[in-house]
Amino acid sequence: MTVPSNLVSTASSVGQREDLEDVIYRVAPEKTPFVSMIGKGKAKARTHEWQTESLAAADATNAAVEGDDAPTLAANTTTRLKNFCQIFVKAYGVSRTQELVDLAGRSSELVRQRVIKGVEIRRDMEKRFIGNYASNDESGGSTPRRSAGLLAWITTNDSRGSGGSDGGYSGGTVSAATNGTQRTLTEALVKAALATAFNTGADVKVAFMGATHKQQFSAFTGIADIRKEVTGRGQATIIAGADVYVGDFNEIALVPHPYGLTRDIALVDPSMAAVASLDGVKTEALAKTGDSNRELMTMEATLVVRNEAAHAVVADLT
Amino acid sequence: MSEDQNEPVAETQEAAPEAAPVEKPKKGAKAKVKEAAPGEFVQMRVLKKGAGRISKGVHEGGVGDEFFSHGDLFYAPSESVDELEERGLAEAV
Repeated sequence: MTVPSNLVSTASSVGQREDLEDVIYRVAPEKTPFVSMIGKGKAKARTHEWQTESLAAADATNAAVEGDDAPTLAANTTTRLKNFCQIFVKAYGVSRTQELVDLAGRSSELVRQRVIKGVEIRRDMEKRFIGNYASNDESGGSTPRRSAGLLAWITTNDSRGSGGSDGGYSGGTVSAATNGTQRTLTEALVKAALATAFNTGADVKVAFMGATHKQQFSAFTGIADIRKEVTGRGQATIIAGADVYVGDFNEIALVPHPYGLTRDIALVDPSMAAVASLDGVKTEALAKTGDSNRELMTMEATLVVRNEAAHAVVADLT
Repeated sequence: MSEDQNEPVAETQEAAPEAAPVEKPKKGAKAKVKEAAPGEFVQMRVLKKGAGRISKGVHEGGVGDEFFSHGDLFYAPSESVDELEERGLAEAV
C-alpha cells in the first residue's frame, strides 16, 4: 500500500500541541528515619550542653560493722557534654521570566525549588546526625561549626574491625571513629554488641542499617525457617525480609537507611537522642540584585546524644 | 576505655588480613604507604597513646572489644593510615 499524494499527516503538519504530562516524577530516598524517630528539643545557644551520670560498679562486699563510723564519702559527679549547632543552608533562585511562562508539572518554579530544597536540607541533617562525623566550633570566619553525628559519639558499646579506633567526646569536641578492616556481618557480631550494650544498661530498640546489611540481617538463622501456609489456590509467599529482630534482651525494629549508613549498623535507643533546634527550617527572600528572585533556606540544629552508652554500633562491615 | 601508658611493649603481631600485601614490611616504607591503593592494608605499630584504643576486631559479648597494646603490630586499611598517624595512635612500619 502507498500513502495518497498530498495527504496531510502528523509527520508533515505543524501546529500539533505537545503532550507533556502536568506532573513531575521523582524517585529519591526522602525519608529521614533517624531524625524522625529521636526526640526533639530546643537549643538556646550555638553550643548546646547537657549532663550525664553513671553508677559505681555494683559492690557485693558492701558491708559495715555494727555501730561503726560512716565510711569515707564517695562523690558521684556528673559529666558535662556539648555539641555545636550546625547551620544547614540551601540557596536557590528563579528568573522573573521563568515565573511568568506556562510550566508543566508546577505552577511556580520558585515554589518547586522551595519544596525540593526543603527535602534536601532535611536529608543533609539526617545524614550528618546518624553518621560518623566529628564536631568542631567555628573558627577564623572560614570554618563553619559542625555537629557531631551519632556514630562518632559511641565509645562504650562498639564492635570495630581490626585497626579501628573509637572517636568520642574529649575536651569539648567529638572525634570521628577511625575505620577498621571490614568484615562480614554475622548474627554473632550483632549478638555480642547487644550483650555488651545490655550489660552497660542500654535498652536498644532500633537498628539502622544500609540496604545490603538489611538483607543480610534478614538471612539470620533465627528467621530463615519461616514458612507461610498457602491456602486454596493462593500463591505462595516468600518471606525474605524481617522488620523486627527478637533478641535476647529486646525486640529491635530493623530500619533500612537508604543513604546514611554504608558500613555500620547503629543500634539505637531513640529516647536517648534528640535534635535540639536553635532555628527551624526558615526561608528568607534575598535582596534583589537583578531580574530574578532568590531565596535562602536555613536550619540550625545539633544532635544531642543524651548518653552515648545507651547506643551501640557494629562497625566496619562489608 | 583505658589508656595504659605504662603497658610493656608487647611483641605480638597480628596475622595479615587475606587481602594484605605479602611482601615483608621495610623500614622507611612510609612513602609507599601514602601511595597504597584503597582496599590494601598497611602494617602499623601501636604507639603509647594508641594502647588500648585500637581494636583487634574481636568483640567479647557483654564485655567489649579487645584492643592492641603498645608496640603491637597490626594491619590497617590503607585509607585509615593517615588518620591513625594524625591521632598519634599508631605509625606505619
